[in-house]
Amino acid sequence: MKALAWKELREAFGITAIALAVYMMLVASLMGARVFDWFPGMPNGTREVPFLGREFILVFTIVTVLFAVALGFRQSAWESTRGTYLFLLHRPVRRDAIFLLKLAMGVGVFVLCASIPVLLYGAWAAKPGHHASPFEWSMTEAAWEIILETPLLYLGAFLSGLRPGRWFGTRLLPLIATATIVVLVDMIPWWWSLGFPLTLVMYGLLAANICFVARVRDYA
Amino acid sequence: MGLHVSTASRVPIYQQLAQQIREAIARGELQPEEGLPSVRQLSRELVVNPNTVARAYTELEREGLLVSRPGRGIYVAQPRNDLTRAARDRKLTEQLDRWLTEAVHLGYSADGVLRLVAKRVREFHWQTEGAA
Amino acid sequence: MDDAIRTERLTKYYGGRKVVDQLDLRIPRGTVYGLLGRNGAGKSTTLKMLTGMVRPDYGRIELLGENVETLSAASRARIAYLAEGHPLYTGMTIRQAVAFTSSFYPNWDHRFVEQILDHFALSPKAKIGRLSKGQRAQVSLALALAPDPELLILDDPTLGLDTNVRRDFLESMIQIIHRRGRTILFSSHVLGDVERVADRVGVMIDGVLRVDCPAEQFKSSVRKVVAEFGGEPPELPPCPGLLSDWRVGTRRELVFVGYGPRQRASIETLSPRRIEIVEMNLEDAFIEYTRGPRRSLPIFTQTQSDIQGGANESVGVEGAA
Repeated sequence: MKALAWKELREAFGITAIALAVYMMLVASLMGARVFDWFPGMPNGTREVPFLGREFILVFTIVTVLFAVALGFRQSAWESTRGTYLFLLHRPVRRDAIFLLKLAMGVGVFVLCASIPVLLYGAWAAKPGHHASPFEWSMTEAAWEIILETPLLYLGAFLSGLRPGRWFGTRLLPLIATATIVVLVDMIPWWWSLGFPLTLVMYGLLAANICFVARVRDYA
Repeated sequence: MGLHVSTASRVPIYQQLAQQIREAIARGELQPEEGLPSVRQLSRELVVNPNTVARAYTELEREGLLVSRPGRGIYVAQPRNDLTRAARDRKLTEQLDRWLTEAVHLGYSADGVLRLVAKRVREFHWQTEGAA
Repeated sequence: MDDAIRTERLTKYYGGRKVVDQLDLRIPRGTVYGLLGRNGAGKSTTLKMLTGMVRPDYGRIELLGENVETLSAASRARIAYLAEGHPLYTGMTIRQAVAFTSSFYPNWDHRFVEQILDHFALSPKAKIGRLSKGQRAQVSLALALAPDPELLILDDPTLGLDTNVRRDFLESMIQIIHRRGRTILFSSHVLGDVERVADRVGVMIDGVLRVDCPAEQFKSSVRKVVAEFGGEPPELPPCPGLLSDWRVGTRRELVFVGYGPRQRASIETLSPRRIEIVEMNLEDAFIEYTRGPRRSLPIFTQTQSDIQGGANESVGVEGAA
C-alpha cells in the first residue's frame, strides 16, 4: 500500500506544484511584492485587512477550486483514458482499498497544500509592523472553511472522472451536485458546530459512492 | 537434421514434424541409435507447444521408428526385421492401393503413374542400397 | 477443481448489443488455450469479465475454483492478467514499475525479472513511456510472471508487435508452458501463433464460441461447403463450427471447422439443389473470416453510394462471382 501511496503522490505532484506556485504568488503579492501584477486578478499591495479583504478571498477561492477539480480528474479520469485501471485493479488488493487510498492521498495533499499560503500569510500578518490593522488568527476562519469544504468538489470531480457516462454533460453531474452542496454548506451558520460535521458526512457519502461506482463500472 | 514448422501449411504441426523425422530416417540422415533432441529442447527451438512435439514423438514410437529410453532420451530405433517379407509386401501394397486410387481420381494414367514413381525413386536418397 | 477457468452462460450487453452470448468456457488446468476472433467478436470483453474488469449481465465465472465476484486478494495474486496494449504507468521508469508492482506480491522473483530485463537489454532507468511497443510488452510480461502465477490471462499480447518481437514473445510463452501446471488463456488475431502455442483453440464469432477443439484437430478439419440453391439462398441457422457464411449469387459458401453429420444435416434442412465440399487451407479460411461476414466489393463497382449504404452489396458480389 505504501507503493500505491507513493504512486498517487508522484502523480499529484505536477498539479500540486502549479497550485503551490500560484498560492505563493498570491501571498507574495499580499505581502507587498509587485512582481505578479501581470497575473489576472492578482491583488497588489498591503492595503487589505489580512484574510478579510475581498481580493484575497476571491483569488484564494478560485485557485483552490481549480486545484481541487484538477486533482480529482487527474486521479480518476487519467487512469481511465490511459487504460491503466486494467493494470492497477488486477493487483491483489481490494478495490475499495485502492480507491480509498487514492482519496485519502488526494484530500491529504490538497488540504496540506492549500494550508500553506494561509499559514504563511497569517504568520506574516501576525508579526507587528507588517500591517497597519490588528491581526487575530480567528480572522483566518473563512479561509479554513474554504479549505475544508472544497475537498467535496475534489470528490465530485473524482466521481465525474470515474463515472463512465455516455454524454459529457451527464458525466459532470456529480461535480455540479457537489458544487451546489458546497455553496449550501458554506451558507450554514455556526460553521464549526454544524457546517463542518455536515461536510464530514458528505465526505463519507461521496467516498462510499466512489467505491460503489468503482466496483460496478466496466473498465472496458 | 533441420526440422522446421510451417504454420501456413494445412498439415498440423505434429504431423509435419513426424513426417520430417520419418523422411530423415528413410534417407539415412538419422541413423539407428542416434539420439533426438528432447521434447523441451525441440519445443524451445521451434517455438511450438511441447505437447505438440511429444505427440509427434509418440506417433513415431507407435510406428516403431523411435524408441524412448526412460531417463536417457529418445532414439532412432533399429530397422524393423520382425515382419516377414509377405507381411511387409502386404503393408506396402495397402498404402499403394490407397495412393493409386488418389492417382486415378487426379486423372493419371497407369503410364503416368509409373513415370512419376520412377522419377521419384531416382530422386529419393535410399538409405540402404539394394534393400528389399 | 480441475478447471482453471469455468464460465456458465456468460453474457454481456453493450448498449443493447450482445457482445458475449451465453458463453460456456471450460479450461482444464495445465491447458494452453488460444482464443481467436475478429476485432469486436467479444474476446477482450470475455477476458475482462474473467478478471473482474467488466461485470457480466448474466452468468457466472470461476477462476481456480473461486467465484470471480468474491475473488480473494490471495487468489488474484495467483493470476496474471495482461490487458490489451500492455497498459503501464508511462511516467515510471522500469525500476519504479518493478518496485511498484512487486510491493503487492508476497513472492516476487527479483532474479527472474532481472534476467528478462537483461535478456532484452532493457535498462532499469528507462522511462516506460519511452519504450517501444515490443519492449513494453516484455516489461509487462516480466511483471506478470515474477509472482509465479498459476493462471495467465493474456489479451492479444502480440498485437502490434513486429515479427521478431512477436517471436521473442512466443518463445517466452513456450518457456512459461515448460513450467509445469501453468494454465494460459490468450486471445490472438494471428492464427499461426495460436497454432504454435495452444493445446486447444476456440473461435468467437459475434460473441458466440463457435469452435472449441484440440489444436491439432483444428487445422485439418476446415471445410468449405458450397450449397447451390435454385434462387435466393436461405439463411443458415447458427451452427457449431461455422466460421463464415456468405451469399454468392444463388449459392451459399460456408466455412466450417470440424464439418460432420450434424453440420451436413443442418445444411440439408435448407434443401439445397447440390452440396459441394472443398478442402480448405485454414489460413485462407481465417483470412476470409477476419475480413468480415460480408465480402468486400470489387474496387471497380465501389461507388460512393455503395460505400455509404452497403445495401446493394450483393450486386457487386454477383458481378464478381
